[in-house]
Amino acid sequence: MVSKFKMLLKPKIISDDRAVSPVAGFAIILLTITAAYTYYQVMIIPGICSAYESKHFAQLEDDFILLTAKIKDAILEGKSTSVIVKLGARYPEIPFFSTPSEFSGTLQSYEAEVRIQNAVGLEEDIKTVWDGNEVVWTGSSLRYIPNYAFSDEGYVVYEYGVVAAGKNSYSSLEGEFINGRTIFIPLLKVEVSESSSSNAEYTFHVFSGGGMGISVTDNGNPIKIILKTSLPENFWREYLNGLNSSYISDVSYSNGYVTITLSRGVIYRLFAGAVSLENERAEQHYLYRITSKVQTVPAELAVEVRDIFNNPVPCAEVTFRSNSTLTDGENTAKTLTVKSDARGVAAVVAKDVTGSDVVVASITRQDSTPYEVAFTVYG
Amino acid sequence: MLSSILPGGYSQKLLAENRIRFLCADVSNPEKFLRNVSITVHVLMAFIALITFQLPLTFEAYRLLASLLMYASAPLIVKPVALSILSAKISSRREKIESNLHNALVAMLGFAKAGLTTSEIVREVATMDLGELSKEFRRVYYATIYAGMSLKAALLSVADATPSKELGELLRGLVGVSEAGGDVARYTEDRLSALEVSRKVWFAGYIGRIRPISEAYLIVTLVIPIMVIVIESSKMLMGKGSVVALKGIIYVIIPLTSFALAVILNASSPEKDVERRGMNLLLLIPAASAAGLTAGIVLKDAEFWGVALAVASSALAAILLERFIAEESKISSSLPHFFNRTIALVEGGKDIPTAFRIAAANESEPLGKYVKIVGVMLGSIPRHKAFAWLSNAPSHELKMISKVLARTAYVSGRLSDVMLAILGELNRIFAFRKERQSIARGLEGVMLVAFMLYLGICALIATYFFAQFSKFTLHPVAGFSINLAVLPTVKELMRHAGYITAVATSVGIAAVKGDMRFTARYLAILLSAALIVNTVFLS
Repeated sequence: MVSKFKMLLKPKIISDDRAVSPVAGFAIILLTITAAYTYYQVMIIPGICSAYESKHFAQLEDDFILLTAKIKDAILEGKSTSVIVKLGARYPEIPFFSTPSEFSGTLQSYEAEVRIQNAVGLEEDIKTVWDGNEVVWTGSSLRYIPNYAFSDEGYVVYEYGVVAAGKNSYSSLEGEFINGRTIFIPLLKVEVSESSSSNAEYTFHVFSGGGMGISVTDNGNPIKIILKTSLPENFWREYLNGLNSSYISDVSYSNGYVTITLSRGVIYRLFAGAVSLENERAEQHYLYRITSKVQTVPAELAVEVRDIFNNPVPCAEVTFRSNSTLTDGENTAKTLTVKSDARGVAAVVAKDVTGSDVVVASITRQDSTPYEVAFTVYG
Repeated sequence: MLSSILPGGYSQKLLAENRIRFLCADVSNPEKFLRNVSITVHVLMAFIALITFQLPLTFEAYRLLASLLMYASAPLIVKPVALSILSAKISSRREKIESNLHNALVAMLGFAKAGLTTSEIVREVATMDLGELSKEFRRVYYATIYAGMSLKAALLSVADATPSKELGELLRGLVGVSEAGGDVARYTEDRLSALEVSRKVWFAGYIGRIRPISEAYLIVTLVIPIMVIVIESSKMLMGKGSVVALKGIIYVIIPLTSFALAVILNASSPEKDVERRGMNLLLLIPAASAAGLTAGIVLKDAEFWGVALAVASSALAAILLERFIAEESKISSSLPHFFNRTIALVEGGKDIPTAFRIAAANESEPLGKYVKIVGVMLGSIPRHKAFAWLSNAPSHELKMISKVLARTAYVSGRLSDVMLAILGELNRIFAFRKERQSIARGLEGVMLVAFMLYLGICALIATYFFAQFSKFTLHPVAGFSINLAVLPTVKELMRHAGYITAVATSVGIAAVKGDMRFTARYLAILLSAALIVNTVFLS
């Protein structure tokens, strides 16, 4: 009985001092290597690749932040800019193990729309356009969708100068929609849907930019800025709250539109603009008199041709019409058509006026309707 | 000359040159044999020529030429094919003769000690039912009775025409001894001693070979393929790797190497001619599997039903075979002890029936059941009939012993000498089996570990690796470098690899153990494990 008990305590497998054959040992080593390989391949390699994807995503966020800054500069300064976006990359090669060759990313644009209600321009020429009726701007926003194999980082989104990253819940990375009483709304005029595993370079031309902005205030009802967005409500609430702006009185969200209500009785400076991948400019929308509307001869009559975003439009034809002779330095006539310069300015000089005369400057809008402003010149 | 190149034709020179080989192969009608081989080769080559004609070669003329060349080569192939078949037949006969040579010599010793003449010995061995060996002795016997040949001439004639060199030497020795009036009993005793030495060497040689072959099986059929399958599957999931290589390993390399090495292990085994009860039950497995596949096609899941019925049938076969295997194993391990006791009693002065009865009385089941009955029979019926009854026992060794003892008793031979010789052989077989079991045990463990590790790896890959790609299969995205269509393919290949590896492991363990009936037991366990893992993780 005791010996049986001892036998139980000392199982055969422990007392057995025989070794396995070298080949069986080799087989066991190979199996151990196979198990270790599998563990590393299944548990560690995805981690390494996932970290690589996270690094790429962070780099892409930086690319978008740079993109935002460059678009802002392009709009404010009216100069083209280019940006490189690293849409995809090759996974790192790890000796003896398998990693996918590469991953790609898709950059796609989607519809953007800005509606501004109840805003009235302060200056006379502005008031005719910004008269409290709704102003609608359309353009596009950008979304980057990474095709990662090992992680699900979400998307990077660019909307109205704001960069956000995430999937179900987004966090803002860059962009100040409202800074104090200054509102800046940059838009894109692009249609892009590109999938690539390498770098993509985009050159943004100024579609509308280089303006000084306009001053607006409310028409008795608070100014509302309505943005069409793909970002969720909680993002906008958190983002706008984070701006700590005392001029935002309310934020609401409905069916993919966020409505930002501004405080009443405040004069705001509104900057807007757009960039495009094509070398094209926004059409002329209205004229802004940059010289006095009542002058005595010799009178320089200058207007700034502006687009819908209130930015100057170069090379736009402005027709000056009067009963007296006008000159642009080269031609002299009662009716002169002058092209606006790089700053969007078109000017003529009225020299020979008897008594008084009215000089009308006009443009033809995109919808073929004329837009006119008048100067009064005394002889 | 022309007729030799037509279907059914053959070279007369081929016939003349191989007269002795035809005798060795026991081909009684060489002309018919060669004619049949020639027709078969021509039909096969015509078929190959037809296939060649269907090949997508650029020019039709090439296809025609290649087809004609294929068929034209048929007469050239007849000779090597005929000689190969002949060699296989000779080899098969030699092995069958030599596997019974020891039993024949033991019986001959008993006959010679009892004073039987050489011709009487030849007659008794010829009627002993020792397969091809008895057939050779019958040729000697019939040559003396019906062909009027002298015993010397008949023995020398068969000695020249037998495929077994050892039998040839034995027969020539018998001629020499009986011609010179020598002691046949002494000669037989010496031959038996020499044969026992050569059998011992044979057993030792097999034991020496079984380890490297088994280890080669382990490495080539299981470990390296498992390693490559895992690596290639991982590569494929990463958008690399080769599906052709993976399929080649799973569907070609593993089955082929498994089959080849199992055949080598079995063919070189000293026990390959041992009759195994219930071997036919193994046919139940492929039959049930085929039925499952057929039913599965109707039920839209051929793989599951094919494997499920294979599991069920192998479990049933294992349960039925387990009793046979256990009984045979117990009888085989008890036999040396039983004969040891019997001989000790005989040498102590007891007569054979008494010694047999006393030894049988102390013998436990299952051997005890049979020897006790024989013990009772020995007191009431003729001894040869009592010993002949032993062939009812479910043991190959006991059947052979029964034949030798019955025939020896029938001619009033020296049973004690015969039993002593049998005991020596039984001890050798017992030691051989113990040695093989020892080798098999270690390799069985490693083979099972290899298989279970593969299943573990499958589960690991499915749980952690496939999950990485599930989001893409649900929402396919453009431009992704990994081909997601590969995922179901990898799953399917890994499932199939599990089943094929289960079969290869089961066959391998059974082959190393020297009894293919073990396949059912391991197949039931391993296929079940594979089916569960595949259903849970890889479906």
